[in-house]
Amino acid sequence: MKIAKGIEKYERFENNIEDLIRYAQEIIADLPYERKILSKQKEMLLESLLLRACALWESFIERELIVSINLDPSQLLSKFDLPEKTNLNIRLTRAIVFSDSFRDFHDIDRSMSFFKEVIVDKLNPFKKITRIQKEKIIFAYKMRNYLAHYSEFSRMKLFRAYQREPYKYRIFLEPGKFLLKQKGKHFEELVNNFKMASIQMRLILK
Amino acid sequence: MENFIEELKSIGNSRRLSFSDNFYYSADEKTIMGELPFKEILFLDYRDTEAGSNPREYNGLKKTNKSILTSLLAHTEMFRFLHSGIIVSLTDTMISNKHLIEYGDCCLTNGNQTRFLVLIIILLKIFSEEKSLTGITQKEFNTFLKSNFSDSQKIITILQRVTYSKVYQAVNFLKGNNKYLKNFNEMNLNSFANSKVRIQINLIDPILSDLEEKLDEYYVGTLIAEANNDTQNVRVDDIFGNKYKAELEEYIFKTFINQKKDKVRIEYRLGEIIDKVDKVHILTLLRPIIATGILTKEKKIFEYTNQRAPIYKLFEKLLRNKDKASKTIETISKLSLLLYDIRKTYVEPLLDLQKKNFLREYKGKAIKGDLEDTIINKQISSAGGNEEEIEKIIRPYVNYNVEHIFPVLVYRVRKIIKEEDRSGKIVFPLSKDKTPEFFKALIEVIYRKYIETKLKGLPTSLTTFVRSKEFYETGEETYVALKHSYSLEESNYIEDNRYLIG
Repeated sequence: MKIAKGIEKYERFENNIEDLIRYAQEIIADLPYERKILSKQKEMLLESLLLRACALWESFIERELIVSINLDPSQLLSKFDLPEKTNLNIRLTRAIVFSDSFRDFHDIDRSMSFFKEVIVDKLNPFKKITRIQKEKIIFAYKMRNYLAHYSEFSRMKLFRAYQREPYKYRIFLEPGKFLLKQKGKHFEELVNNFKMASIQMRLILK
Repeated sequence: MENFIEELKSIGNSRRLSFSDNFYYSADEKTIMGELPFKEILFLDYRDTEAGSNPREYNGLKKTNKSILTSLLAHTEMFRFLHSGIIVSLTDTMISNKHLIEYGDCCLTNGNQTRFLVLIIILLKIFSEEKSLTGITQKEFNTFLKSNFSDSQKIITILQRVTYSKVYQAVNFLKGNNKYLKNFNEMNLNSFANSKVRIQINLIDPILSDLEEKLDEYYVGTLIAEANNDTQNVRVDDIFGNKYKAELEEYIFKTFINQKKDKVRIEYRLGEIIDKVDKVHILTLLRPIIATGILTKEKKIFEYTNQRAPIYKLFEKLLRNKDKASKTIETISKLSLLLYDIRKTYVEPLLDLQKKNFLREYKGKAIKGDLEDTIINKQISSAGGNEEEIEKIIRPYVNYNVEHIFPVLVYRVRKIIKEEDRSGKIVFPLSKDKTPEFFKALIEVIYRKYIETKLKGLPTSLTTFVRSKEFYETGEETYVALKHSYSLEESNYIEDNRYLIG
């Protein structure tokens, strides 16, 4: 029952991401039966969809974190110095996790080390995420941070990421332009990566 | 160099052939055989002339043409002994001595590939006198042609066939083959242009005068051209398109041509339209007609999937019976336009999108371990979760040929097609906002079946599968569901206008 519910949760997230990609690709494709959309508009749309994908991802991993802890709360109880026999439910687990400080999941490295502290190893789905998937998530978040703040700092961070493999750009590109390149190939890769990470995480249930 | 180019232009513009030595002239005055310098053959006409029309365009550097190119570069002096030579049909000839022929029209019926290769070598050699060949750009090449040859329409017509992409194939070949690049660099342009090729000439007027049947020059010239090419690897498309162009235009593609005018041009011989316009090959228009079942029994519909020759034969028979089958031909004329529009507006773009969707889906399935029952299971396992590797393994199975899927879709929806009461126009009677969803659903089902069958392992070949009843039955349930949900009614339009040939 628990496994079936777990799979359903992954599928819901994966379907949400898939819908975003399909919607974006239909817009990008300039389908002959649809109204033509200017590149500028497509760029804005892709930027918004990337932000939305990041939000979906954060909400997904937050839920996943709580559910994973709830399957075996021993690690959490030990971290927070709570009695071993504390009876936890989802709401209580959530309350404990978010009680000590503000938590967001923008930084995948920081998040993963926290997950390691509170989820028992054999039930930790986050450890299934591959190195390449993690790198893509880090890149997507540099873009997300720039789009959320337009600060010089976030711009610099994104530009440095552009300059490295696999992109190796010499000039800064606004995210929309980058995401639209090669008929939205970059957009698809970055957003689908969230889905692939989820699929990889599912393997913990096997 | 200027003098050399002027000499080439003067030869190209003249209607004369100058032989190096005396030629053979048959006693019945119908045949001439001899040897010509390369420079004499560079701009010979070959298509749609009074002397006939060669069905074959220059193919680019395919296998045989590569051999001709290497032979030209490595054994220029021996070329005439190594190759059978070229064949030409001429009309209105005047032979004043055994070195010179003057003529009215010319059709190079055999040896067109050789001629273009010789021409490309000469053009590249001239070009390389001033600029480096290896970095040649499209702009540079076009400027070179324009500045040297634009004053002659006849020559420009031939040069239009020498597109940059074709020239660049030769440059690339040279760049990758030092031996031939060395031959090219050391080659003397004048001696190359004067190297010889053997030629046979069919003198059309004397040939015609002896025939009992009353035929015109074009007919005989084209007959010779097609026969010359029949023994070679000539596309059956080119022969059919060449022979039936006029009738296809007048009957089969009448509605298409009226409607599309110059927006989409029909290509009767592959590669003949080089302008940057939308074009469609005859086969693309003819194939989907078969899937409607207007010309054949059901079994033949499946059998003819992605075929060439039998389809041409079918239309050949139809055109032969055009008086009896006039109603069917008129329907086909309307159908070809409607099906083309469906293909371009919905099918091609939706297939392209669906391919991306399927690639993601099957990549996910591979990682989840859902492809264990497929023939790529072992490969997937050895990829060890590497997404890039997995994508490489999956891609060939997700790739599709539109010629496999489109006929099944046409077959599935053919009964929906109907004639509008007032205008006589045929339509797909679904509103524009609902049509994309309708086709999307059917395409997804048909395409999924196609992939799943490939992944399961084909008992025979993919061709056998796409020509099977089983594949054509795909999407039946979806079709029925869609028909009900959109309240679509089937019509007998195709059936009422059927003329069974195959």
